[in-house]
Amino acid sequence: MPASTASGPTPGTLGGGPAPGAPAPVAPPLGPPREPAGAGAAAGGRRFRPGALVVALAVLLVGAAAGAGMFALEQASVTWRPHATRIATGWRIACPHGLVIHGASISGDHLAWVSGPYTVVFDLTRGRSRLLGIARESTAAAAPAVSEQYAAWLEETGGAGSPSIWSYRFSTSARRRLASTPGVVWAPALSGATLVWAGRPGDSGAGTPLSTAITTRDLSRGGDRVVAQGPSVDGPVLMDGMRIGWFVSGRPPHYDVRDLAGGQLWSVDLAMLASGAWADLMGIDLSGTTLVWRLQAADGTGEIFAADLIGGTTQPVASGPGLSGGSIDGDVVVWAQPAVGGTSIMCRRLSGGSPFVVATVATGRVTDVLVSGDTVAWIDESGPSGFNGIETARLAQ
Amino acid sequence: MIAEAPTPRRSRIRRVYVGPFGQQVLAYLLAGLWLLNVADLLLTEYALWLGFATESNDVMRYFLHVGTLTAAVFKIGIVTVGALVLWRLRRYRAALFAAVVLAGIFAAVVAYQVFWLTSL
Repeated sequence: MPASTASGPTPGTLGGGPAPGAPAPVAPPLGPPREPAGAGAAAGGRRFRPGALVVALAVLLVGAAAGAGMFALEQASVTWRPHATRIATGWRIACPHGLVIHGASISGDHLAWVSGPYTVVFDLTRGRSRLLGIARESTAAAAPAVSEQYAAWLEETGGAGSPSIWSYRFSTSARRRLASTPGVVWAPALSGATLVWAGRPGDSGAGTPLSTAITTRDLSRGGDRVVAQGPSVDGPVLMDGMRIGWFVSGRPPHYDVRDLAGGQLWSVDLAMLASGAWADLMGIDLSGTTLVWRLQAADGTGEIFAADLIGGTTQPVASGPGLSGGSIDGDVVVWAQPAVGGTSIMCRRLSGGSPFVVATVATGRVTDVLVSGDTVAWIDESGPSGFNGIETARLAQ
Repeated sequence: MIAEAPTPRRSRIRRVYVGPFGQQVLAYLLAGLWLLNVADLLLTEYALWLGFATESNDVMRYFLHVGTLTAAVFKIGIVTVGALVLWRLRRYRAALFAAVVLAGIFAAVVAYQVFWLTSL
């Protein structure tokens, strides 16, 4: 063994010490001890020592524990993660640190929203949230789009460029920044694996009005298709199944819906209340061949309409001051309206029946109401001192 | 007058050497370090593919930009060479110390990546 060899008695000494009168001992060479060649040395040095393996594993375990600790510490300090609590009717999801939800979407088990710079998706079955993206600039208040397969959202990239579209695939957890989507001007919409967005490819940012193109892209197989283009074409864009809708400015402004499979094009006049007064378009949604939109006049009076694209009929769904929401899935339309003691989350089936109350929000301001299947979700913005987040409830069958 | 013999400073020199036990610990640590380095490469590639991560190491970012194979050859090659150098110096305690530190850091990095990826 090299070390023991180096420490052994040297010639001319007795018991390790110099003899009186003897010449001074010669110090051993200062280099590392040499391993003597031979089978005996090899057996001594290469013999399996379980203790050595245990020590090495202990070192690795200590390192792994440090890594896990760093991860836990980092997760404890994140500001994006919502506090989700399961309640009798569904979920109560509170956004921490006073973050306010700008926009949300729901599809099946997935609920996605933007709060501050964060784009978050929440799994309504597992109660698990995940961060999809962090915008460098939190100026975009566009709601993310979500389908059963994908989520898509805008992220401001900073500088003068237009925001980028990102996608997230639930089955693979893969996140992608979509290439070649210049001049995006509206939040994208999703249906299955098909994304649609409104963009002005030639927009130099100088404010020059240019032609807006409504473009679809198959996220799984690739391939773009321009559905509509023109200077009067605008957002918001919608998609459900193979039907895509976009706004067309003009007198009167209308909303076009095209069926990509059959090629039909429907135009629905907007911006006029039942009284004939002009109003602003505050929200619009598409499900199958039914278009639902909400208008609001300057005095705060609002109205929600539903148009059957095939039948060509339009019916009022709700009216009154302080309406919010206006979302459809199947034949279910949901919205929020002021009520005694708070705000009522309302529902009406277009196939028949009277509106009914899904839930009552005692305090705060409901900014949006969404529906997918039998799940209703609403954004409750109560301010810094109260609840900021989303609540969900199940509709009775 | 008899000159006093110089005192050999063997005890300080002996402390830098590592015995067979320590050398075997070093061998296991270097093997672990090599495997953790490969795991780090695979997890980094996966995180980059997922789109949730960016390589913060400028050197590795360059090689990853050139290509996955180039990055793998560089990363595995440099750690292999480093491990062989440490094994060549296995009789020195400094080699064992370096292996302990490097293996611990790599274990921490890989554990962090595993937890992070499973949280996505």
